[in-house]
Amino acid sequence: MPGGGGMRIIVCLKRVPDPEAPASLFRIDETGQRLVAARSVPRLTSTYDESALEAALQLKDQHGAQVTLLSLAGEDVSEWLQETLATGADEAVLVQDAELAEGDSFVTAAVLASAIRKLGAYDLVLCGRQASDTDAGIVGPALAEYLGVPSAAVVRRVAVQDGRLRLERVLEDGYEVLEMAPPAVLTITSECYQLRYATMANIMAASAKEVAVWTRADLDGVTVDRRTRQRRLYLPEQRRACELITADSPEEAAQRLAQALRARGVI
Amino acid sequence: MASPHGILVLAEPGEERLASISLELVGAGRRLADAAGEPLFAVLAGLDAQAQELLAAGVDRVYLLPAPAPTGYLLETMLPAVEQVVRAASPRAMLLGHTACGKDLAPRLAVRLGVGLVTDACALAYDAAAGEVVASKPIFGGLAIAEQVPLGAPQLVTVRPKSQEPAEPQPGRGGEIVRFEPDLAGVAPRSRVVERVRERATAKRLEDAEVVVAGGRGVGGPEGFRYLEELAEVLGGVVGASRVAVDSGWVPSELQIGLTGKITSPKLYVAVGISGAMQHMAGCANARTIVAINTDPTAPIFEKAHLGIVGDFRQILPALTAACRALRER
Repeated sequence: MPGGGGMRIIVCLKRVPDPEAPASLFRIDETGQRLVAARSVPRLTSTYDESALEAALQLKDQHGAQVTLLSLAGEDVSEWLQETLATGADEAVLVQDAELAEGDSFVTAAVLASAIRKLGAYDLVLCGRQASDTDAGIVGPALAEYLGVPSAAVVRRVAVQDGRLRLERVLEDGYEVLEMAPPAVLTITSECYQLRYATMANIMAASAKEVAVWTRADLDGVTVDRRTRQRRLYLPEQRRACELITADSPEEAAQRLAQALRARGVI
Repeated sequence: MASPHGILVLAEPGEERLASISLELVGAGRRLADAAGEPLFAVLAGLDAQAQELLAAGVDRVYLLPAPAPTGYLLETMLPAVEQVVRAASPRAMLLGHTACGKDLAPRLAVRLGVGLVTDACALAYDAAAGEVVASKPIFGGLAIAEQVPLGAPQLVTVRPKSQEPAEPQPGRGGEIVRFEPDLAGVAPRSRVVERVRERATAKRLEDAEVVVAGGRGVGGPEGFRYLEELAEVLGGVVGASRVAVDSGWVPSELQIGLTGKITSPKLYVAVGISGAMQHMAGCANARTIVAINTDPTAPIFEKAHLGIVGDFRQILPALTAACRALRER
């Protein structure tokens, strides 16, 4: 591990519209190619990226580490990164470029790889297993390929033992335990990692930090080289008229529900 | 590479017989190959008998890689081996499962080959006029469906398990098996598989269950799931859970239903204390009848369910269980 004591962990984060917001607040734009969330929908950290950050912070608690937040965005989201620093991360870098941010997962992975090379030596890169908006799950492993390091996707737990990574990767019917020599890229799932709240001390520390903002000019060899073409985007039929069963008591409502199910031939 | 021709699928070996995803990929691959008027290939790191299964299922040529160790394949050696087969076979498109293996391997393979990738496709089509495979996949937890075309050759797609009609094996069908010895001279792995652990919380698989009783945030804790278990038992069903319930540690992760959990298609889905977020609904939208029980009348689940009660599950479920038991005993 580079550095005197402790590792360097880079956590890749994406800011997305809240995936738990009601479907009615989303629409397809005039181009017919993009899903747009209403302004009222909060923007927050992609769900599994939060787990990746928690995994990094737990490793920091256990072994000492410098945790760097890294994000690609089309607009200035330094305020969001600053708030995220308050969970206990050490520094944050934002790569701001509208055209690059509109690219596909492979563009994102190439940009992040370039930024990571610029950051210098590292031990571990953690990403969420898939972004809440694209649900692609491509950036993490693609990033590892660009960096030329080992990777594992859908990791539920990671530990460090004798300078090596020991991780549990989720399988269809269980899990596998892998041992890996750093540096490596892991994509994290949420089973064991719920992002902690910011403490007062960390909020104070974060407010004194500056989010570094880089542009395309600061990175080497990044192009918008799209590998996917979208033909169509549509909203599947979702709305349904729910038959709400009401009664004087919950017990009576339950009785009526059972009868309704019997009438429909379900039970 | 030679001019791209044919469809290639990455088959996954099971314990003895092929994993079910393999037959689903062969089924989907065969339909694409027939639409394109081209052959169907498979690459498998497995046993001879499994390669024979693939031929019986409709594959024209199997590239057979050495079977992995009992602990399973190592990505660092599997990836270059699969890449070499792809370059030798030169297909126009390749299907992998959106499985633990596919999620690990497909994006890295795409970077090595310089091609595009669409993941978790639930529908596939061959556009003969354009000469390309088109994949439909859910985005935003399933809120919208995107029809995408991965570019380059081969076009790469990972396919959602259980979304494709599997191939029917016909013993005696012809085809060839090509033994492929990968050149791993330049590969110095920095990782190793220590062990593989099988976990199975319930005997009945969620994906196959006819009745599912699922609990979410509203259940409030592990004790609340008792009520769901009782209802599930009377209905001959299985208990499931939302991601929130799993991440809160109330139930084992194998019970998770949703875009990143299990996809179910039961006759009856009872959603207890579940808000109805898109990524969860992606795991049960195909249910014939959805019942929602929630204290919040504005919860999105009431726009997705067929029947619903606004109320406390602790009062409703016991009465529902008793009523269902009485009806069953008639």
